[in-house]
Amino acid sequence: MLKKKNLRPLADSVVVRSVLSILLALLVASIFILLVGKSPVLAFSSLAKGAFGNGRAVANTINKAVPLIFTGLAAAFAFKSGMLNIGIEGQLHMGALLSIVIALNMPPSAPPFLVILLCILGGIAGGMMWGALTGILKERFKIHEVIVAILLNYIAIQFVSYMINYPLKCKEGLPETEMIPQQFRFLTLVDRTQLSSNVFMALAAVVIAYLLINKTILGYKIRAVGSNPTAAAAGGIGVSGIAILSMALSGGLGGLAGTAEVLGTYGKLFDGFSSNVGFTGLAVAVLAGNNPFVVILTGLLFGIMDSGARQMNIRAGLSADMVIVIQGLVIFFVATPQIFNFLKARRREKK
Amino acid sequence: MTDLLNLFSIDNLLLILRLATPLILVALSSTISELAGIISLGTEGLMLIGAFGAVAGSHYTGSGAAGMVIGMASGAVMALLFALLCIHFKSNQTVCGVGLNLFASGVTAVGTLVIWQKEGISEQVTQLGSITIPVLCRIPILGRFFTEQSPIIYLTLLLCVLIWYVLKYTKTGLRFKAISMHPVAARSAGVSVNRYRYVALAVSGALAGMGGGFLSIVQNDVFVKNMVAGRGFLGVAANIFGGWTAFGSAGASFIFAFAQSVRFNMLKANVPDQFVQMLPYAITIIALVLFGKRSKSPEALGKIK
Repeated sequence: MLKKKNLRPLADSVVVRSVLSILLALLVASIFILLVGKSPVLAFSSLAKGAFGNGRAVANTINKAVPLIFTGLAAAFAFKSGMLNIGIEGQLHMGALLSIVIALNMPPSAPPFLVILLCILGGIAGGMMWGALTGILKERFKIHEVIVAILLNYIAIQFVSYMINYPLKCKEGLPETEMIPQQFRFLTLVDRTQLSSNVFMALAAVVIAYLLINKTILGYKIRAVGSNPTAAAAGGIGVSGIAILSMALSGGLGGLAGTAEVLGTYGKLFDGFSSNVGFTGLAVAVLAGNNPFVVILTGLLFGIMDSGARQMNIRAGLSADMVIVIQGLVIFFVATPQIFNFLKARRREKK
Repeated sequence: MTDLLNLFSIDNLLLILRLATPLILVALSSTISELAGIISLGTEGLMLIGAFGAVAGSHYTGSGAAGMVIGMASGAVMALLFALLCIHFKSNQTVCGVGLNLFASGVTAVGTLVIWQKEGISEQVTQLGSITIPVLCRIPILGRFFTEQSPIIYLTLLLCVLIWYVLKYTKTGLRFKAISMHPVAARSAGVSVNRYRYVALAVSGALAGMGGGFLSIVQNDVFVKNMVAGRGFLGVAANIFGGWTAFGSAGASFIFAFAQSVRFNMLKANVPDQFVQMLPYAITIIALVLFGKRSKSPEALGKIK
C-alpha cells in the first residue's frame, strides 16, 4: 500500500480515481455529442429523466443494476485472485440455462420456495462449471485464461441458442422458451415494472462475497494468491487449486446474473437476453476497485445509463448506444490511472 | 457423402478464401500488436471501426477504394489512441481492450444514426468492386481464382508474405522481434522501442480496419450494427493458435474458415446451425490443449514499462 502511494500520489484512492474517470468520460462524451450536433445538456437530462423520472422508472433502473451487480461481483472476485474473468458472459448463459431447465421441469404443485432455491443452486452450478473449466484449462494446460474464456463464451452462447431454438422452443414456434409459471418466479416488487425480489438476492450475494473474501481462510488464500502467487506457494498454499476454485466461484456469481434475469426480469430465455452485461461487469468491478459494497454503487451507475438510454434516444435524438460509448470511455479512463497523474503534473508545471 | 466432397469443390475453396480473408487480416493485426507487446483484445472494436469507416468513406466519396482507405485509416487512428493509453499511460491492457470494444460498438451505432438517420443499419453505398486478372483467368479450373475476385483477397495474401519477409529478413523486422522478446535489451542497443510500438499499432489498426472494410463494402454494401460478430476475437485466437507468426495466423484462419464453410454445406444435413458455429471455437480449444504448450507467447506481451 505504501509503495503504491509513493508511485501514484493522486490515483491511490479508488474513489478519487473512479469519480475522475466518470467525470472525464462524461466530458469527452459531451464533446462528442456536441460534435455530432446535439445538446449534451438535453442528452444527459433526458437520460436522468428516463432513469429517475417517476417511481416506475426508478424501479426499472434498480432492476437494470441487478445483473450488473452480479457480474461486477464475479469480475471483482476473479480480480482478487489475480485473474481476469472475461468469460462471465458465457457463465451467465450457462447459469440462466440451468435455472430455466429446472424451473420448466417442476410439477406445478411443487413448493415454490424449494423450486426457486433449486433454480438458484442451478444457476450457481452452471456458472461454476463454466468458470471451473476456464480455470482447469488455464492451470492444467497453461492456456491463457482470457483466450479460453472468450472461446468458451461463444460455445456457451451458441449452446444456449441451440437449446432455445430446438429442445426448449416454445409452442408458438418463436425462438424463445416457455414462460416460467408465475409461482416459480421472483416476486414483482413494483407493479408494471421488472423490479423483482432478485434485488435481495443481489444484496445477499454482495454480503456473502465480502465475507468470503475478507473473513474466511479460503478468502485469505485467494487474496494471497492474487497479490503474490510465488509467496503464496512458498507459504504452502496450493496456488493452482485456489486459482481454479476462485475462477469457479467467480463463475458461480456470474451464473447467478443469469438466474436473476430468467427468474426475475424476463421469466423466459431468448437469444441475446443478456445484452453484454458479462463484459460490462468488468467495468463495474474495476470502477469499484473490486470492493463488493462499492459494486452496488457502480452497478447502479451503469444501470442508470442503461435505463435512461431510451429516453435519451427519444428526446435528444441520439442513438441509445451513446451510453455504450460512455461506458467504454469510463473503462478507458479507469484502466488508465496514470492519465490523472499526467493532469496533475501539467497543473504543477503551469504553476 | 457428396456433401463431404462438396467441401473440396472449387466453389467451396473460393468460399473458404472469401471467409478467410477478413480473419487473416485481423489475425495479422493481432500478431503485430502482440509482438509489439500490446495484448490485442480490442481487435473486435478496431474491425468494427474499420467496417464503419469504410462505409462512411464510400458514402461521402462515392468510391469503394477511397472507402477502404478511409476504413483502414480509421482503424489506424483508433489503434493509435489505444496505443497512447497502453504505451504512454501504461493502461491495464486487457481492461482497456474490453473498453475499446464497447466504445467501438457504441460509436459506430451512434454514427450510423447521425449520418443516415437510421437505427442499426446504414444506407447502401458503393462497393469495392472485383477484378478479373487477364491471361491467368483463362487457365482451366484454376482460372476461377482469378475471375471476379476482390483485389483485397490478393492483397491479403501478399501482405501475409510481406509481413513474414519483413519479420524474418529485414533489419526493421529483426529489431521488432528483439522488442517483442526483450524490450529493455533492444532499448539499450539503441532501438527506439516506443516508436516501433506506435508504428506497429498503426499498422495493426489499419489491417483490422481493412478486415472490417472487407466485411462491410466488399462482401456487403452496408454497415450493420455489430456486424463483425466475433471475427475480431476469432482473429486473436487464430494468432495464438498460429504461434504469433504471419503464416501461422494465416493457416489458422484458413482452418477456421474451413470450419465456417461447413456451415454453408450442411444446410441440408440437419445439423443445428449453432453446433456448426461452435466449431471454430471448439477446434481452437482442442488445438490449444494439444499443442498449446509448444507455442510461446512473446515474452514482453502485456508488460509495458
